[in-house]
Amino acid sequence: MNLIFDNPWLLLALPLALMPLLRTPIQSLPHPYLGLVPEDPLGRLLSSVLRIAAVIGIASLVLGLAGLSRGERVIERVGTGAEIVIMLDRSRSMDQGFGRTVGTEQLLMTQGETKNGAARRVLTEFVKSRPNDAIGLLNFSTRPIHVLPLTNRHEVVQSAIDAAGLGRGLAETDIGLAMIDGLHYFDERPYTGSRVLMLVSDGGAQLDELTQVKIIEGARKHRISLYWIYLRGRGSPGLKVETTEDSGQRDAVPEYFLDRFFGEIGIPYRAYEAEDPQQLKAAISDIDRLQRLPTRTPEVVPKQSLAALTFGLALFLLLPVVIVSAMQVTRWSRSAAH
Amino acid sequence: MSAVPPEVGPSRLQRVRQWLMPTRRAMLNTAAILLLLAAIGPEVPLLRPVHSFLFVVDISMSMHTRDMHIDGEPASRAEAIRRSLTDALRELPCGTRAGLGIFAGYQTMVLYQPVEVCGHYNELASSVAKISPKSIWASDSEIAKGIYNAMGFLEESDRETQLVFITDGHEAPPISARYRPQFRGTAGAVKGWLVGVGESVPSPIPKIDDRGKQVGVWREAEVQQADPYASGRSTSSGSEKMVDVGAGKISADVAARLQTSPGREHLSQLRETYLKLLAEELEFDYTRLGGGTVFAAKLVSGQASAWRWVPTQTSQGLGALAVLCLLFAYWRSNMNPVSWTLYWLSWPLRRWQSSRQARG
Repeated sequence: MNLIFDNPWLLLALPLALMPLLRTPIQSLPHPYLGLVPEDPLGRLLSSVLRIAAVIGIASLVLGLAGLSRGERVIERVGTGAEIVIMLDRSRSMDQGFGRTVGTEQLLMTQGETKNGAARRVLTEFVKSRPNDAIGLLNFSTRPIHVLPLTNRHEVVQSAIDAAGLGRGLAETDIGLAMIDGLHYFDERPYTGSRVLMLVSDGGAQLDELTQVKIIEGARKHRISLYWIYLRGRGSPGLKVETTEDSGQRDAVPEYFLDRFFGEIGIPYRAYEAEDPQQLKAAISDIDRLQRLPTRTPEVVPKQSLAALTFGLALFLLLPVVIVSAMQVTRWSRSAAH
Repeated sequence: MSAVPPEVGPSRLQRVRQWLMPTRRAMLNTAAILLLLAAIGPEVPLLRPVHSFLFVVDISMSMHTRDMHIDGEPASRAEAIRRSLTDALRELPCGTRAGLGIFAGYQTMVLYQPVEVCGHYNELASSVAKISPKSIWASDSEIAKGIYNAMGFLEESDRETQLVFITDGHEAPPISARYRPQFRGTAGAVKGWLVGVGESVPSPIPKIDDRGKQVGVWREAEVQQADPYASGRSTSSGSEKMVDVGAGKISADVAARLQTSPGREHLSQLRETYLKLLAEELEFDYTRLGGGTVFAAKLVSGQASAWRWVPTQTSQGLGALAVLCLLFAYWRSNMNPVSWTLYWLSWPLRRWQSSRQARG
């Protein structure tokens, strides 16, 4: 346990702890002849004990004044929820309109909402409905950008989701790098049964061989579930393939390719289209169906004041002096005088 | 008015005197009560200045430059920032709010808006630890634009928050004195700090590949050495300048303060006079990145973002009062606090007098 002081200079007051050795806070009474006072070994012993207790008590009080604190340390927080890493696309294309197809394949814009706006709306709702889960956030564009570790403090997650709406999109999209970084969130964490990697993006990607292998290895090793929340833009093909083209041609479309690749990894995988609220509800309840083991999240705890301990100890050790002083004889009564 | 008989006067005065002359017992009892309160540690709302900061860290490639030191060991600017920022976040008083952002290209990207530092220390420290030039999305480093960009965010969302922009001031590509990016908002609407990082001596910038390994350093020919306006059309020779009648004259002073170094742009140094120039224009404060404790103290010493009722720990204050009570109890408490203080202040004088008398 590392101990630190907020105001170490106040330790200069430590000599005050010697005060009880020099003086006593008990009122002395004049007595005409000390030789008449009977020898009181018990009283002397009591007096020494009181003095020593008071010395330690005042020392503890001064330590408290100097702000004795327990330094920063890492603890393991045990939780019960799922562990969800959200990977949010911040590329330039997310600034474009969020479209949806209605009935006769007609593309409409949802009140001029951008895909970024739609993603934030969906994620805000998602985070609200998962209050007990540890959520991590990774933004990605050309490269992944680590935003938040897995945390149960959803206020900051919400703040990060809101901040994604500031300014324009960044640059290109590299889902492969983001996936690999997202998987790293689960490195060196005990397996909990409910690990979810949630990709929120508006497009697919062609992944090279090496990246594919890395993703497959990581996903299997960490035994994650993969959810893809797909934001369909105007003119995007969508994920559901209706035509019966041969697979080679379909793979030329990044969305189809990615959907097929995720499906073949051998982990639970679902794709949801963001414009359908029913599908999102399904995503939220799908996570509930995952196996539950307690989660252990290492957490850095900032320094903690030990005021309760130091002042409490001081009180405990000084209390005998207070009690004795309350019982003290302040005036020779008739019985004592005789 | 004269209902009080005159003979009651002295007794009332006596009572006041008695009250001002607490007994040792009363002092001990008070000390015990104060200690009990201190141990419980009640939080009392006090009106205090509260700060809110958005820390934006420049993560452009020049931040790889290894001209900083951590505990005596050479370190890159990015590492030094991470260390100093983590330490500063630890030192900021509870109730302070801190948000994080990164800058590359010409854009500031806000990771999250300010959150309370003590309650979110774990998240803040973890996020800072991952801030790295390896996440850049663009290779340029148009710092002034990034600062204006971040100020724009604060102006529209949260004017109470101060911007703390940590950078080396190395604009890439170099900027021209005449065509400098101009701040379009109102200077002073958003308060803030520019924090300089790096040494004033130019150092080579390490070249980092996709896998994060260093592959040599940036060479003269690989870096744009002059601002795009100075170099003219791509087909013309380097000496041929673009003709521009419209632009006004720029004072030589400003041009000098930009600290551009054609021919040496592949080296990086802290461009302090440039950052100071920007700080003056934006009515920001300027400081150099130092240790975390000093950094935090400097930020908090500045103008407060707002005055708020903050739940404040009172243990230390109560403990201090308890110590005073104990002093009275142990040392001559049957005097009122004023006479007690005077008595002990004049103690050396009395000692001196008595020793003189003894000699005399």
